[in-house]
Amino acid sequence: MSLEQSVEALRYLGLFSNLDASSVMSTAVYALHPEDRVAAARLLMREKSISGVPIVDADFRLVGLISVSKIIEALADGRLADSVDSVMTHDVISLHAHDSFETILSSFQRFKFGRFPVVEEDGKLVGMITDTDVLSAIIRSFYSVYVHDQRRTITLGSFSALSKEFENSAGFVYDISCTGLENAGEGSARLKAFLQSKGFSESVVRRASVCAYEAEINVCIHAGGKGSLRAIAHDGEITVRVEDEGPGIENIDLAMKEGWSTATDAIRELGFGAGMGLPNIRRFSDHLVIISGKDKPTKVEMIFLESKE
Amino acid sequence: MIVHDVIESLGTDVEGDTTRQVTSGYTCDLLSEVIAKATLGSAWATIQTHVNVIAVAAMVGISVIIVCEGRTCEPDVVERAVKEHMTILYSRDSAYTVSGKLYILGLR
Repeated sequence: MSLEQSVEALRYLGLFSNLDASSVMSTAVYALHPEDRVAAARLLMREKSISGVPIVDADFRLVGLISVSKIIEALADGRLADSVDSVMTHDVISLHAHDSFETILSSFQRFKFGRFPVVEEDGKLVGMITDTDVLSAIIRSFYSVYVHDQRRTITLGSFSALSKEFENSAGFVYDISCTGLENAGEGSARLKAFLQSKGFSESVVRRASVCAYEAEINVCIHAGGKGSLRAIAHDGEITVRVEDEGPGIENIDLAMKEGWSTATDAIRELGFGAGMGLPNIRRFSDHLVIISGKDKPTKVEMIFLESKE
Repeated sequence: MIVHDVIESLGTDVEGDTTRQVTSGYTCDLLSEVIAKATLGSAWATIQTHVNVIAVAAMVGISVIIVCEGRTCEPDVVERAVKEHMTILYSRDSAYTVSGKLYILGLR
């Protein structure tokens, strides 16, 4: 997959949409002033193992950048004692603190630089982004994406992590809206009837509706009861997607563990909150993708295959 | 065996249809466990009495809910059960005793 396709995939999946430049950048930044010597820049790069130094004025506004290649040129010309501003790049390509993750990737792709300074509205330098920072941000972000599939990488890489069909048409749509737990399960009961009417086998209907029930209950217990339950069902395949508006799952790995729950005692007394919801979903679904994060909406997509019976 | 036979054996009070087939039994108060492990046609012994019990039972395809320890369901729960064609039995026995009786009755 080309970088361009990857960026497109990210946009489509909504992956890393929570990452902007300010959350990707390193804030421990070494900068120099225009009047500093080139020799100082050389020393700083060597000491800190960095390949470029941003140059800022007295108010910390970005005015230039000096890279390793500029230092090499200066060395060749014997200009180490000159001031940095005589050697540095003046029109620096920088990112804004609120630039999206896609913008960051596009910049790396377009300009082929190893690093980008990040500035605020007033031009003040607030951080730097290197390819290592991007990679670290992706790895951090994966804590909030869960894919239950032997082919985890392939699934995420081939766009199938969340199916596109829902954008246009879902055969079954139910708006989850429950106050307390009174009406919880209504949507999955209707889904069950819908799937039965489509002629799916009893066992795949059961697996799909049980998982839908668990997801619906989660929306009612954890997400204020507001969300949607949608399904597409044909050719022996049932795809169910349950979405809510947050507050999201902070640590999906923990939430996938049997017996782990954040439900209150009152909820537990009713026989819920035993920490079996997501584990049950994993157990009964053939493919499972969960995208969430702290203070983010949660998307759960499950696929059930009649052929797996 | 049908629900009626279970009633005969347990000596319980009943709400609902008594002609459904009963093929196995399950005892638990954690709804997710019931959803994961109870099977179609089960008799389910529990002390839970709230409305979600009906939803779970309907989802799994439970034939009869046996509410133990002399507990009873509120009218709104019974109403929901009627809507879902679900049968509720009330027993004064503990879930343990009810399970034992069901076992003796031949349910596995």
